Amino acid sequence: MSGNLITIDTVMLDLQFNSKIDALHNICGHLFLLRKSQDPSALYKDIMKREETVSTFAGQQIAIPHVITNYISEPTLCFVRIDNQDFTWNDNDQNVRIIFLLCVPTQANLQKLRQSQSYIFSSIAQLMGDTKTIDLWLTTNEQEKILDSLQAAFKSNLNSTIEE
Amino acid sequence: MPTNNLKVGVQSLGRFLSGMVMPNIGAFIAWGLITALFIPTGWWPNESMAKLVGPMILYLLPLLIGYTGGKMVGGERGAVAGAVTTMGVIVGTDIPMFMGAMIAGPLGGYAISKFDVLVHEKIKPGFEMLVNNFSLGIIAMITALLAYIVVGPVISVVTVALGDGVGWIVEQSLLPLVSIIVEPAKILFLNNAINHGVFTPLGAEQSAQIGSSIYYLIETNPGPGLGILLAYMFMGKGAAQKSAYGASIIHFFGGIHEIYFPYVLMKPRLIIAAIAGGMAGVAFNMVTGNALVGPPSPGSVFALVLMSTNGAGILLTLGSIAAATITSFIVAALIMRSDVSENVDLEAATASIAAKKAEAKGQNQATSTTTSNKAVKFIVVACDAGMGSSAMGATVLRGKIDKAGLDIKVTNAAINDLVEADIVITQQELTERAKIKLPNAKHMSIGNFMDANFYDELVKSLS
Repeated sequence: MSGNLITIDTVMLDLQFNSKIDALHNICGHLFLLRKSQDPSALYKDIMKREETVSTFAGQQIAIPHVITNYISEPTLCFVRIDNQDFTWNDNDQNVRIIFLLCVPTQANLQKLRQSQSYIFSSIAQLMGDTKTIDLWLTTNEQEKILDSLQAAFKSNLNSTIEE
Repeated sequence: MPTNNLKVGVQSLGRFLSGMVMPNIGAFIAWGLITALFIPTGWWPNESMAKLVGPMILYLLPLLIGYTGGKMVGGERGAVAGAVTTMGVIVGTDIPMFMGAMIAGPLGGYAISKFDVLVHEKIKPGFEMLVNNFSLGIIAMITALLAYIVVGPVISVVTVALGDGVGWIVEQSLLPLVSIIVEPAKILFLNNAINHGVFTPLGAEQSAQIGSSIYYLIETNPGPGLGILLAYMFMGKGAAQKSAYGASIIHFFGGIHEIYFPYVLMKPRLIIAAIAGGMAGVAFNMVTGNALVGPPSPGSVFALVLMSTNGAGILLTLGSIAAATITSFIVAALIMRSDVSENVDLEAATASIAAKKAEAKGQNQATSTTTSNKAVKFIVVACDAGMGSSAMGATVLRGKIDKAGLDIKVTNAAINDLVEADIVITQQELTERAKIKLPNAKHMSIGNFMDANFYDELVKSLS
């Protein structure tokens, strides 16, 4: 809902990471530099805790780590494209090129919070059904194009999925 | 509340024990069949085939239990650690170490899972494989040595003490009370130690004097075990119930008593039934003066009949088996029935809490009570956080349901927020949690929440 959910600053292209741990460490560090998180290592720990419960590998070379945490200042979505062809999420058959990381600050009413944030991954799931969009995500060098594809989907879903 | 907690505790311990044993029942049956067929007193004696018997019961079966126990606590790595730890217990003694495996297996799994939590995130990228393998190796080595050093001597002490106890009871002429020691000892797989260590020498002495002995009839009576297996057949549930049929044949006709021990370990209270059955059998033989001329081996109904004294002896032996069976069955059935009603209580309590919650939120709870036979109207895709995987899964499924023109509502939720649903879809790892939260719904497990095939199949089955 917030206009700051995803910005050019959190669309990161062609980064070189060796592992999930490496990638998440670096993304958390980046969020610290953007002043979105005061404590990147605590944020990282919260994300990993969620990963341990059950992996967020989503297929189609995409992973969607996400967390409700005290260590982020506002709802933030990162789009991260990995340059390393060997990068895997957990196992060898879980090749990942794109990471969507969603961090949402904790609120008193968790249920409401979850419902209000569901449109994000709901939109991403719809976009994943479209091979053209995935091609765009994998190939374009313009961060704006990725941003536009996401924001258009968010806008159309925002009104329809909440308060069902 | 404390009694309730205790109840839940006992139940979950029982479930844990049965979780270790049930997946391996097939291995027990394989061993039982091989034993019944090929041992010297078996149906088809064969020295070479019989070589399988010893290593299977000493190594294979305890290792399987230890492996499964470790897996339940610590996943794949826990399973390996559990099996290695169990090896320590096995080598520490010369009797089949099932109880030991049930302790050592989970212990190994626990040790490795604790270690994993401790070092998590501290391993440098690229070194994970090395650290994982060596940590598992070193920790399993330590737990195996520990099991070897500690458990072996403890078991020896217990065995000697049991033998002494039996000897003392016999001296005091309180023979039926001997079942209080013999039956639990059997369940701990000390049956051969007791039978061949205590009763066979006593019996040989007595039958040398008077031609027959009651001591041959104490441990070998298949009645107590048969009663328990019958109780499982009539009152049990699930895999335990279904496998009890085959087990009872191997036990009663094949004389392989080991086969029913796991069924008692699953519900430890059933030991009371075994003791009662044993006492009834011994008492019957004391009163009627029945005895056997030699040690029946294995403890099958045929071997017992063969060793009976001529004439009425056969009938009396069958009578003692019947007395033991009936007594054990009645007690076991009563115990299992009280367990069933407890479960019902527990389920009713969970359901009423869920209903109250629904009420408090102003939702119509009628929809969530009986779902099994009515049309599916509401599917919830659930996950841990309730906004990631489940949102994506619900979106994919919703698209497919709309396309198929079905009138079914699909939403996503966190498992903790589940209130009502006809079908709940969760990732495998989370299904158990979801079942506890919403026991009345139909639950389905999905490997990957974006698995289009899974949703296609589901939509097909709904339309």
